[in-house]
Amino acid sequence: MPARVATAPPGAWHPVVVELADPVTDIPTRGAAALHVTALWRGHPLGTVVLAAPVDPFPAAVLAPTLARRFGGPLADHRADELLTPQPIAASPSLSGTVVVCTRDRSASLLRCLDSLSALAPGDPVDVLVVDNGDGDPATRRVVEERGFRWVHEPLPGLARARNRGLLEARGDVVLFADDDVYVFPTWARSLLRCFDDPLVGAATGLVLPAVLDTVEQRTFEEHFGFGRGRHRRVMDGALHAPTGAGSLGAGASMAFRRDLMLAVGGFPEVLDSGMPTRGGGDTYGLYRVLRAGHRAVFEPRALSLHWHREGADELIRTVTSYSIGTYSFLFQALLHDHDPLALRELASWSVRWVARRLLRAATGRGNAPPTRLAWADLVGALQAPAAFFAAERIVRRRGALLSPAGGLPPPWPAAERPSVQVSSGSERRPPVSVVIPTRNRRDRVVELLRALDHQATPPAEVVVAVDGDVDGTAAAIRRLELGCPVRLVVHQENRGAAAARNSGVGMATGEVILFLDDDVSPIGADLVSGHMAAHRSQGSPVAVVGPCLPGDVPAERPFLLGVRNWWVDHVGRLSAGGPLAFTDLGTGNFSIGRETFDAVGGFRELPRREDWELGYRLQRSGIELVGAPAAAVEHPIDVDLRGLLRDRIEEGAGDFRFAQDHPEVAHHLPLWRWLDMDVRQQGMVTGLFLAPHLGERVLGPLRVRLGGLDRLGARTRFHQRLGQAFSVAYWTGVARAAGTEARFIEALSRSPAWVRSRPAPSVPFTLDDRPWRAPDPAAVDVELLVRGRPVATVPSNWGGFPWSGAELGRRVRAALPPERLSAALAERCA
Amino acid sequence: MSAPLLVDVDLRDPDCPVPRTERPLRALLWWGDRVLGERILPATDTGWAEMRQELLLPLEPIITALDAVRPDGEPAYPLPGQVTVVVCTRDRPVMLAGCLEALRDLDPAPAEVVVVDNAPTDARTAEVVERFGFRHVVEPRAGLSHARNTGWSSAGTPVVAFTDDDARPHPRWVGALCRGFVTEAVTCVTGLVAAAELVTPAQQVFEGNGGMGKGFQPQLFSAGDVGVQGFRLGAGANMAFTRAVLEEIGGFDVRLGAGRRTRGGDDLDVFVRALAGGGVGAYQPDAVVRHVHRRDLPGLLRQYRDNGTGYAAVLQKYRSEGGPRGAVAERELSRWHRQRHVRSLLGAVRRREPARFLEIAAEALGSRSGAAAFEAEAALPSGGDRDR
Repeated sequence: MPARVATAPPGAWHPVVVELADPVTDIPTRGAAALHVTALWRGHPLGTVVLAAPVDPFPAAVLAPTLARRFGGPLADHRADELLTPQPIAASPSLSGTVVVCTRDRSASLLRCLDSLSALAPGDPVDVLVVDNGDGDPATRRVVEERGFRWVHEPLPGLARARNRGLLEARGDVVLFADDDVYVFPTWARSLLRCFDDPLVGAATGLVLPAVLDTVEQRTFEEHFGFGRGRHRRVMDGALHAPTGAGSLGAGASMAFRRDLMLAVGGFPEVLDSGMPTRGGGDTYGLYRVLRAGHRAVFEPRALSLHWHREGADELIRTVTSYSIGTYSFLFQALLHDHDPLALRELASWSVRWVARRLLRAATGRGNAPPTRLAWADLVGALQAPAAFFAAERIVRRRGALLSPAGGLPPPWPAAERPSVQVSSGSERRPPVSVVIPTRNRRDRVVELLRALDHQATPPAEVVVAVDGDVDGTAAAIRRLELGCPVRLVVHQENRGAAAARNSGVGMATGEVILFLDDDVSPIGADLVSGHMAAHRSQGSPVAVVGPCLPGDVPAERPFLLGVRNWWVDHVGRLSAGGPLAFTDLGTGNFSIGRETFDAVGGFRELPRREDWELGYRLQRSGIELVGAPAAAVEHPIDVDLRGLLRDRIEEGAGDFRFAQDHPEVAHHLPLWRWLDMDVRQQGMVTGLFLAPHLGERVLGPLRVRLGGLDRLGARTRFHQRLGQAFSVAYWTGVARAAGTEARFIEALSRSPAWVRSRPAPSVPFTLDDRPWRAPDPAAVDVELLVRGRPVATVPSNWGGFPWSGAELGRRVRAALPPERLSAALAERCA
Repeated sequence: MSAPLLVDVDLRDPDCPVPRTERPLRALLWWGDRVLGERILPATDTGWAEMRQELLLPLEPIITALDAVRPDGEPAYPLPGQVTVVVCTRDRPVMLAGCLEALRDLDPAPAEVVVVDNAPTDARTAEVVERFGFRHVVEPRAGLSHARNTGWSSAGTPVVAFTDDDARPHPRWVGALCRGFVTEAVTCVTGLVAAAELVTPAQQVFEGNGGMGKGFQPQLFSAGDVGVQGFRLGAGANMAFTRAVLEEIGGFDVRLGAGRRTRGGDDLDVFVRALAGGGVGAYQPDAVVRHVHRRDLPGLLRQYRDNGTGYAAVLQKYRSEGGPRGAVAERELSRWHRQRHVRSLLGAVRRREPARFLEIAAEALGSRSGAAAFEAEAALPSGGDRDR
């Protein structure tokens, strides 16, 4: 905390931050009337309380029990988190960052900001860059460089311009923006950087607390316009949420962006933000742009900073007017520049729900009424906004922008995961790998894939292409190819399905290890084959290796495609997390297995769907572990359409039912197990589908049309709600078709050991102290959570396999147990 | 429903004695010497061990936090041996005996217990006090404020704690009061007043209307926080002052208090004046006193009426003194009448809360005579030295 010496004026509140994990000390109040206490538990904000403070210093003997009683609930929550979270919170981030401070003739507050940046946790991969948007004062430059920070001058005015200069000059993967009137806490940069461990996160914002609440104006600002966004971490997913709501995540005083993403979208629009007539909105637009690209934005309350609110009444009114102009300008920009129809809706809703309601409240004095002058300032800003926006546009058109959008967006996974291309030495012996590629009606893509395989650092010993019904001359095209590695061909005359094609391919293959690839993938880098081989060799016993299938470029910023992309990225992230995998994680697009093992378990069963899970289950049952190979990555295009996806869901439903019939002991891991948790309305729908399976497709037709409309409109939230409904209808149509009657379906479920919980069902012990855990029993029903060897809770498994990672398990345990019960259990057993 | 049994339950103690009874239990829950809250326990025949688990469940976070969040170093509190407990009584020997019994059990014990016998008509009180071996002081001038003044002036310790003859202090009361004096600036400490019995309908009505409790959250008050609303700190049944501040402000105002025409308000007035010189008031919920509420309905209504009269008299006092506090009292008076006696009364009618209605109506009736009562007391020679 910065030192404070001045005494507070009468009626002032003194804002303090108290870490409850450390002994609570007496708090000097500077003579303020009240303490505005934000309590932390190991860096997590628990909440804020205002306490009357008649004594200076405020005695710890009163503060400690007061805060304990007030924040006992959230504190217990966090303690449970700590026990269940596998990795320490303080682990250092994997990406590097550059802190960019844009300043303009405010040397006093800049000094304070720089001092706090000097105190950032040592060892964080962070450097600091100050962008001087003023007259380039050499004194400022000296002050900056004395501290070992970099200094650049951006002579053209505009905060957005300065931020873009910072984006250009930054060296880190992530650019962290701090205003020059904030003070950041030592863990600020680390907490923000850690958010970017999720490759889909494109932006993160921190919690900004007031530094001073001396004047009525500062308290009013904090109450009605403050930067506080609660104490809970929040994630907005651009594929699922309307990007126009970006302002709810935070403000420019403390935020971070992925650098390559921001450069690709052209940085912050110079039309917006202070220094321009629009006076604001650039920060919100930045978040908006990230969300619009389908990425995620995170509000991270652990990234703490303090902000000095403006002191005087006139300054407050000017700030409020600026915010109003900025908000409207941001929406004008989204509407006119990005042609986002939802911006129009947001404009209307902002005007009614925010500006008009505040005016109404101020007039009637009802509810949380702001002072009337501020409500008017809002309206004044709204009225000034159009003129301001167009004036700013004229300025930018005249002088030209610093950045312009590049075509396409960077892929949402870290560059480090792309293996570097190595030159083949040629002398190395080819690994004994046979690549098996089932294909149908994708001649050109297969040819491309074969060429790419031939260019691998260590090409495979042979490639077997199994053509499943040659409809487009694939076989002839492959025969014409001239490649370094031998290519064998198997041709099925009629379409017998991919599983049959794979089995036939393996029949032809001679290698020790079979690598299955789908016909539409392309290897990333040159280590696909060697990556798989390395994974096999690093294990003592035979294993099955699943490589990541990364999604390709998204052709358009549509909710549907973005949703599909994000699903894939999350899926790959789970595979690469390092935990053990379940049979439901086995996909056949990029998967390798020893020939002997494959033959021993009997190969693929020739099913139209779920042949992958089925094989994975038989592997796990015979004790063969599934492992991930993050380095052996392939890319596959996102070229699905809604109709195809829904057809897939129907077939998956049918496949799941057949799976449950064949292997009832794992039926509780399949999505159809959710039937047991459905409410009456949903179960009624399923019953309807069982009675009349053709109804499903009749419903799906109009649903698909509606989905297409929402997709074109970009209404992300509504689209995904409806998509969930459509998926559900399609899936249960498939189940109903395969099962025939509801009685047969229930009969199949009832054979699972999870059906009757009272019967002693197999459970897997999971001890919090030793991770990772290995070779789980795939048929287990529960996870038994142990703390120091003693059972604390039993968590039922959900569909989709066990929660393998500690974090996932923690989520499930918390969902199963109310926090106080969990905390009691842990406290009791740990004592 | 049968009347609840009121008990103290220490959750930290696995062998805490809890009576087995068919009656519901209403328990003050403790964690060692800290009070956590009040719960109604169902009349079950499960053992204490299971009941303790059930009770701990929702409180676990607070307990965890109380154990985890520790102040850095203990401040210098006054010792229990530096406290004199003053009890004022008037012709209620049976009630007084219950109080003295509780005072005998105090652990840690205070330096001394002084029982002030106010305008006695017989020797029964003296006999009871003698039985317990406490110091007996007679104050012939009728009025609670006279008695309290006599009590503290005869005390030789730096801290004086007051309780009433119808109150039953918890054994750890004095120790907790001492811990309320967190800094030198604290001149006045008040504590939690809980019910001692909830047997008669009148007692249940009183407790149902909120009783005398001020919650379980510690608080600090300055003169500015309190204004003229002395009741925000607490009540005379559970309060302690430094002797220095009582000397400085001249003790309790003899024109106020039970036994005078003003019928009360001396405690509210002394809270306000004890903070006026820059002192700090501390509310310390761990200092618990149980209070025997009025058992009969007329008595209860009289008490509500007296509250109204007492507070109106206090406000009249400040108004007659003038100055900034007089202006605040002026505003408070109109707020009180408008908000409480009109708006809350109508609210009680609308929400069909007869108990609340009776409380406010009685208080409003009492408030009408407060100003006149104060003026009458003030007109008496030598500040109202009126013999019985």
